[in-house]
Amino acid sequence: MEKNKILPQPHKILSMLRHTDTECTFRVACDNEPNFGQFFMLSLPKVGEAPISASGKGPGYVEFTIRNVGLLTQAIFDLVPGNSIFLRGPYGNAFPVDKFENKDLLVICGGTGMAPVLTMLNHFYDHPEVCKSVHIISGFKNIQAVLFREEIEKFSRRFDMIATLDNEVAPGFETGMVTKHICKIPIKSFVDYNIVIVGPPIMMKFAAMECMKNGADESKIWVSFERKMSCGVGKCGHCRVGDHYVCLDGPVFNYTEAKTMMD
Amino acid sequence: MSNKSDFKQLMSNREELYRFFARLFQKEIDEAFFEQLRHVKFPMDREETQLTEFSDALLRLNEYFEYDAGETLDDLAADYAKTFLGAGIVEGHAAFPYESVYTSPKRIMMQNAWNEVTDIYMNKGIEMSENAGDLKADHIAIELEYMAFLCDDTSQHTETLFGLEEQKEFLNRHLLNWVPEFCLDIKYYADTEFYRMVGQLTTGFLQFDSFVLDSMIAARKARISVTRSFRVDRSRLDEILDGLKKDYHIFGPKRYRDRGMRETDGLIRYSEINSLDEIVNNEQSDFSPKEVFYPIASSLFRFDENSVTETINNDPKGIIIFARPCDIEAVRRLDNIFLANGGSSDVYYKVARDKVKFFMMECPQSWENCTCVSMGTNRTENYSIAMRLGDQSGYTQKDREDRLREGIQDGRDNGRIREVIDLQVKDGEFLDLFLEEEEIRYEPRFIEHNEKDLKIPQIDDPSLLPAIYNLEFWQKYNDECISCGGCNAVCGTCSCYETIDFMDQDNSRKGERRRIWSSCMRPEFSRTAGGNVIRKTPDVMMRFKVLHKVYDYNKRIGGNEHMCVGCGRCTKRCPEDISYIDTVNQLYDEVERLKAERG
Ligand code: SF4
Ligand code: SF4
Ligand code: FES
Repeated sequence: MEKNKILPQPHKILSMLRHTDTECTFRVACDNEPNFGQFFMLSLPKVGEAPISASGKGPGYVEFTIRNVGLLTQAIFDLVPGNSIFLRGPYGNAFPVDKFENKDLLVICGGTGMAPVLTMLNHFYDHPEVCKSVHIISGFKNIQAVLFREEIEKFSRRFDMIATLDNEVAPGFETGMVTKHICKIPIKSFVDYNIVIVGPPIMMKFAAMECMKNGADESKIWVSFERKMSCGVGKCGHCRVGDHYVCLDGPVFNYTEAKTMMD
Repeated sequence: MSNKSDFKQLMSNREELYRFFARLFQKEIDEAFFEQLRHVKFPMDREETQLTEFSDALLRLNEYFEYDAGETLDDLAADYAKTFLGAGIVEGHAAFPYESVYTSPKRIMMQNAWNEVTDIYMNKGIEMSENAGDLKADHIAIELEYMAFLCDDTSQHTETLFGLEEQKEFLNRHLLNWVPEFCLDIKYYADTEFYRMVGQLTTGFLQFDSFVLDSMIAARKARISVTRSFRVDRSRLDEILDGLKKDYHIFGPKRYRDRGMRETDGLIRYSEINSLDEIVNNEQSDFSPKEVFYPIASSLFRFDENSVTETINNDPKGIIIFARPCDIEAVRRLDNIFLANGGSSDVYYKVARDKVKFFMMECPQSWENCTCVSMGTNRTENYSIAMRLGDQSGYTQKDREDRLREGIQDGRDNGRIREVIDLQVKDGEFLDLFLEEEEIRYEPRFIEHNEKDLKIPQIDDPSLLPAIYNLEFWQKYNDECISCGGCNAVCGTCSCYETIDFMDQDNSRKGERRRIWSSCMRPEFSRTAGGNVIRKTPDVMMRFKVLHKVYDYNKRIGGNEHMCVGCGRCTKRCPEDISYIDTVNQLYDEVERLKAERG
């Protein structure tokens, strides 16, 4: 007998934290613990279903940071704590955190790209002995779009943290795309290292190229894909890229593989 | 099930559980029963229970006894009266535990369902038991008691298959058809956690038991395969099919004259048939048979704001499909996606697919766009019965002459030439039906030559792919293809779907999530939640589709098999006359050119 993998269950929203006008973190009662980088399928009756990566977790809850850009996310924004959302998961693979132990780590993220790496970064924050060093470059379009201010401040206390705005000047932020700041990371002096890049497809591509220009080996680079998903379990076909299914084989891919995946 | 005593044990466990559930609804809970409930053993613990509804309910049951909900027996008695008898509230607002209430249009008692179950009990020679008091025959407690009776009945007899099927039939037709909805109502009307939990537990148990029955029945039905051939009068085969209708829905390619996509003589698609005459044998169907067990739209679950109830297909009948070899082979592709990809099965697909048996129809000829020989799908082994199904115009002249000669050799039947059908039975289940018929030597004949060939691009080195993706010839589809998605709809191996929510009424809180076929030739296919469209234009969508059919699927699944089975329907269907065959053949040439350039 098979489990019905595509049947969601209602879960209560415990609390909501608004970051910006369009971005908000929801804490949802849930006992299924996600691994670093995994996603859930979230849905609301009438509105539909979409994959959202877990941005945080704790005993009995999972957090999601949602950007209010589509119908579903708009409807989720209209909810209040105590309401339910439908949830199933977690799905997909995770960042290979065990490979990161005792090595240098560079995390580059753009916009909401920080959400999928947040649980992992918090884990390293609480366990600073795991990685040799942690460097973060986090880019946002402008000051209104900045997410996770508290985390950014927190991380800058323990990690080498560069927060940057694409083309705006503001206190506490650098200016310019993330690619502009990669040269500041001493990649060449790392003995062994890993690089995690998460963000819009174009940003990931250029950031990876820039890293390689600065001496990084492509096999040391990990990216996380965002695709349309309907099932999350390898049946609906929407997330397929060539012979890969992002929901099954990803969302995390090593760059040696990711670079061959063309839409 | 290892042996007979295990089987008896299982039956008696199930009997006890049914009696137990019956008691829950019969009257108020008393002290003794409450204690019994605390210690009741369900057949599976949580790990083994794969049905979410049931496992959730079991969890809830444990929690109920672990943490004192503060509900006294008096509270429960009051809630029983209120929820099931409608005591103290305006009439019509309660979960009345009668099948008739849920199945009659007026939602009142003593309707058809009551008549039906009364008859069923009578045929079994049972009197309504004493302690039933004034409960009616279609009260949930009585129906559950009857299931308990059947469990015992089945274990007393040697022919258990019949008994199991009888149980399944009653469970599906007289419990699962209304109890889930009734239990949802309990949730609305009950004041106590106890009865809300009982509601979920009951639905969960019934669904679970239905799966248990299914697998026991399937195990008994899987008999050894045979290979014997017969010659049957066409009219006799019709009679046989008629008999099979008791246990099967029978599907075949049928013509709808008033519909149609481009042909003037209507549309041929799979639907339920009543006789051989309805089957169109001398033309290819416009749609593939996949819609029989993977419909264009189907329900996944019902929901309100705070709960979901899985949609379960309770139809006890099996499915017979009259299908061509390539279409049967296409189903294997669908199986690979729905039953294997990602290491899990899609339960909705599986439930329907498990019921399907194929009656293979020989192809009287290769149609204009067939390329089954190139794809290796001209033959299939996967059938219960294979047959040469002539119809009024389904044969070539030579066939007709051969047949006439045979008919004459057989002698004349009332002055008319016998119309006979040769067939081969491979599925033991159907053998009995033909034992009276003339046994002959017959092997199905498969198409060995098509007018057109499909040349599969030989991409043996994946490093060729970037160049293949960038080939200029894809771009012509930006002018030619209108992204209608018709090619996906008719294809027997296109499996992609998306989900849509339908609300019961515009402002209702209740609704249903359905899945519907979706087409990779349309830009919405790749639109992410954030509004980003990954594949926007026909050139990239065409590349995505075509490479899946002749490269990506094979690369993922392995072996020799490609996703495309060469049925040619996409080419026939395209309103812009884009030939998929030409596309693949041109891709082949381009790939060869690229390889030559590389040296
Ligand atoms: S791709 Fe075209 S030829 Fe191949 S199986 Fe699908 S409809 Fe038939
Ligand atoms: S190839 Fe033809 S059938 Fe397919 S989407 Fe384009 S126009 Fe429609
Ligand atoms: S999301 Fe459905 S196949 Fe990946």
